[in-house]
Amino acid sequence: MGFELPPGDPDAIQSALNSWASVAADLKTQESATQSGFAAALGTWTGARADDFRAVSAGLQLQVHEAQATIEETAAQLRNYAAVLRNAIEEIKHLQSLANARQASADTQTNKLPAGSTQIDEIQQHAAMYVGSLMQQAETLRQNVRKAAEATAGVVDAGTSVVVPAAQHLTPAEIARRVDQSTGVVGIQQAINGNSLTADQAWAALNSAAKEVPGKAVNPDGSINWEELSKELTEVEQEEAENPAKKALDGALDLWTLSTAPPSGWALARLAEAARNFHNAESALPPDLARLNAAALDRPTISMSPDELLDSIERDMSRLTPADEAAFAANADVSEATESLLRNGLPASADWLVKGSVALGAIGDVWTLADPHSATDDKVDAGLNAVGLAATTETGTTLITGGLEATGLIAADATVGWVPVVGWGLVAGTAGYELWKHREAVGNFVTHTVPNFVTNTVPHAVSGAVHAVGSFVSDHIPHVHLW
Amino acid sequence: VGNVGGDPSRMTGGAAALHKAAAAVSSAHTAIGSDGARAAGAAGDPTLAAALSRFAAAWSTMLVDTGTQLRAASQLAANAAQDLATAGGH
Repeated sequence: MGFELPPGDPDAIQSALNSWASVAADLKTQESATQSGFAAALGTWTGARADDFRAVSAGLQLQVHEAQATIEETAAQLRNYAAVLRNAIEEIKHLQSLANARQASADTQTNKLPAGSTQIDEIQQHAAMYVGSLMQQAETLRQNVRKAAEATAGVVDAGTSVVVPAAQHLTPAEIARRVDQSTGVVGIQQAINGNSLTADQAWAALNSAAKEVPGKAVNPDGSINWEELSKELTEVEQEEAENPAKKALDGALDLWTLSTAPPSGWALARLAEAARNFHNAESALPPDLARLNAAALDRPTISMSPDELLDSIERDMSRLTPADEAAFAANADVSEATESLLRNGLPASADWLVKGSVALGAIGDVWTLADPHSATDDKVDAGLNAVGLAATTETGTTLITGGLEATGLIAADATVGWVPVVGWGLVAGTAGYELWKHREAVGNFVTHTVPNFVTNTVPHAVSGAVHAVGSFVSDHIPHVHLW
Repeated sequence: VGNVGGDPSRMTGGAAALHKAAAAVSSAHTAIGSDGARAAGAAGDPTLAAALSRFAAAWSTMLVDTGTQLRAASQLAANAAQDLATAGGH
């Protein structure tokens, strides 16, 4: 353990990703061009071959869309990894400079002391302890990079699984062969180049594309009817839900989806997880409060609903003034992380989550923040962890207790009993923020990407996640007013 | 009879648009492949590097194949337009 820098070149990664982003943008253009090209060809064409061509049209449009969406989303995830890597490298360099300065200072001090002075050992020991703590911080940063790399690799593999399921143990050459086998175009490129492609060869090469989208979900102009495709998916889900054998597999498939679904599916799975956490938090809050009453509160019952509790926390935390927040600025990292969290898109309606988290974060490490979810969430986790740390300060603890006393949730002399309430509140706040943060991914997934899974090997697993999030969004989000 | 009717001019226009899109989609494979390799080399983590290599192989091949399929579709539309034109249009 020392100040070794994590391997990798964030600038080179970023440069490659810029190129991928450019490809994704161009594919978006081609998606539109493909749609209008097929529409022009099919606008007046009638007959059995026109019907065949219509099915091909939808399938190929789906393929272009999948390529565009997957490359774009994977590039975005890799960009996050590059940021984590870059930050770790810069931070470790900074830590090393601090260590060098401290050691130099210790050496300067001890050189001025007479030989044999007892202060020499003391000064050097203090310096060594300080340097050791910096080394520990460097190790934590390296660990964060490793975790981010692992999570990002899962996302990248999920993107690969869109075209080749379970490709983790295949070589790139084997993967390429499987893609060729699945599309059925092997051998026709030469015929195309030689201008000798027969109609039979062409139709054979389009056979796989023609089966991608069910006929009901193909518009007359050959484009995809996304709404109908989603409906088809729901019907598949309902049929499977009535099948006990399929139902029994759902749990395992949900887990599998977490590791193998395409990026949007991955985001959705994360949302579903957040939704479950939120639901659990809501469900468990009253009993926890009841137990808390018995253990530490004066009140015999708490009549607040979870939403009322969160609202009350919002109200009371809004009393925090800039001066209060400045009290947390003693630790520069905490201040910086909190500011970063605010800069990166918290809406006014969710601002209270930050302030609330200042109060609620005291036991954050014990609850949801102990295990950062993914590289994507690093910023949020860092921010929430930071405010959690802030709340462990004397000022923070006072604010927590004061805030909860003001809500009437705890007695003035209660010092420990509020912890479960804080924990559940933090779970709810974190889950709610996760949902808000990924709201665009949810919308995109439900309206665009879900249909892509009709012919995927795990449609029921993904649709189960869609259903879970859909229900959650409709049941809970309007109620808690997160956006 | 596979082709009952159609406007050959519009169908030819559609075929040309598909031909152009096919070339653009196919050409995207180069960036996905080469920049994927570059990102893999710079990742610093062997697991991530391997995942990037697999991704680049899958999607660069898929883009080439999709482009090829679009070329085939373009040719089918053009042939159908030609057949209908020979038969007298509409």
